[in-house]
Amino acid sequence: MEGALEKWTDGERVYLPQGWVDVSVSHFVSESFSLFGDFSAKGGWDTGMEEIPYDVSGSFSGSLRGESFFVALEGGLRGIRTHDTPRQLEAYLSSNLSYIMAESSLFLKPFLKTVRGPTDSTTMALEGGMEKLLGEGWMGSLSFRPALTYYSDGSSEVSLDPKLTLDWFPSVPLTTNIRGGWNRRFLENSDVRGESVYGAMEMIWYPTSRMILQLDTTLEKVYRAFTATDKGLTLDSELELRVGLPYWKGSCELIFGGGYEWRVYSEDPSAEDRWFVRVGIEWRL
Amino acid sequence: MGALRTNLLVAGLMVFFLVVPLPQVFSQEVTPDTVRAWLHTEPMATPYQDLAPSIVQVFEAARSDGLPLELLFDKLKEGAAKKVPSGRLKPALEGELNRLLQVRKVLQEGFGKDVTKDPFFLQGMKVGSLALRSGFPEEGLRIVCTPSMGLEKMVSLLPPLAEMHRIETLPLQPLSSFVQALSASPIPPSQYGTFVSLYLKATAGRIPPQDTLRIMTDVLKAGGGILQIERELARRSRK
Repeated sequence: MEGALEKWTDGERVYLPQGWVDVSVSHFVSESFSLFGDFSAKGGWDTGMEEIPYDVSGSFSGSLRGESFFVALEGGLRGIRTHDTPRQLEAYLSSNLSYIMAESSLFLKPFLKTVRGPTDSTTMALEGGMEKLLGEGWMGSLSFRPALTYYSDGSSEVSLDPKLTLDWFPSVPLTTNIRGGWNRRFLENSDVRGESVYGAMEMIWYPTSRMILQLDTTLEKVYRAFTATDKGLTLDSELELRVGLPYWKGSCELIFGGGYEWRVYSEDPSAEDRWFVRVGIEWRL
Repeated sequence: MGALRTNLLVAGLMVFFLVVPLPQVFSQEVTPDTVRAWLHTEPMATPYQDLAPSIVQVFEAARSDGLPLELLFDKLKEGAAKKVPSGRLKPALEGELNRLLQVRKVLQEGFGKDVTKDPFFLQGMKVGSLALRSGFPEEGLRIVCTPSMGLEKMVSLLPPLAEMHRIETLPLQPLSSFVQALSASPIPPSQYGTFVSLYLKATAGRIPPQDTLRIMTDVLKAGGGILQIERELARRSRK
């Protein structure tokens, strides 16, 4: 459970006391076949909303691996209502088909998602790419993900998303992931709806006993859009520190987190920002 | 603060011994006389003059137990460099002596009596002692010390395992399966350190340690390597 203080872009400050339950189930049927199930429910109060926010999800996946292949299939459902996401239900089905070589692999990830809410939509995507070990502790991946979304008002949207990712796994308790890409979305009449380049970095560090520090930062430059975000720049950062409590039967962690999002638009020199801070505690049984 | 310093020191030494071959570090034989002379001539040892006879006694006890004295001497120098209070120096040396005896017993049970003649013996003793000092269990050390693993590979594997155990306790049964699978895999010992950051990422992704080890083991048994382990753990992690 946690308590958070959030400042929205309109200047309003809200408090969010929330609790959550996560349940994970693993079943290793054999050395090559495994099944996983996850259930998560999060809910509480948001002083800026008239209704109760919630985020409930469940997923189930199975994977099969052989000497030169890996196949996984995952399906899930999610019901969500938050300040920035209206009440909606999502269902998805995703797969991962990989051909594995000694130091590289080729993969294909079909994806299907449907959303039922104020605006219904269905998205189909197919991501293909390759991953490669780049020396000791380095891994790189290059992928391309075209996607097609149909909306209930009859419109549709195509997005193209080539991406380059670099992971570093050194011999010390630290790992980083750096990725960058380009995303273009256009309508069925070829009008460009949005186009952006982005770079992102994730870092996980274990500085000392019982502490895990995680940092996620994304910088995105938007070139063109229908909305007021025309030619905008966005910086989005989140930091989370988990501190395990000693002498506790099982696992108990204190969570300290914060996030900052900053946007500036070319036609409006005043930037807008939002931030949050959160403090929580989590028990693992 | 003291525990924090100890953890950082042990972690630093683990990394050091991962990258520096120990035969290069210990090149001169140490005797109780070497220690006695060092205590009388080394400026760092001045605060311990009154303790000198009892310190030498610890080294004589170690020699009578048939232990190589280099590692204990290293500990003495480390304590003097850190200006450890004289009242704590002798207990620290005795603690190190006991750990070294414990490690040698495990090494001999795992690799045979002749392990003391192995060129990697000193290195094995050092990483074994550091691992126990960092809280790695003796039973875990037994799991790593098997003929199929071999002493050279064990020297490369133990520091990463001790680091992983520091991040989140390694369950012994899955650890045993993982070590067996790794010893049979073609992954070179120089890449064993990568398991530390993979394990950290899995822990941050809320994967239970037994599942992390099981996924690593199954991938290795299927002939996979680091790349596949990372991708399967990433898939299992909570976003």
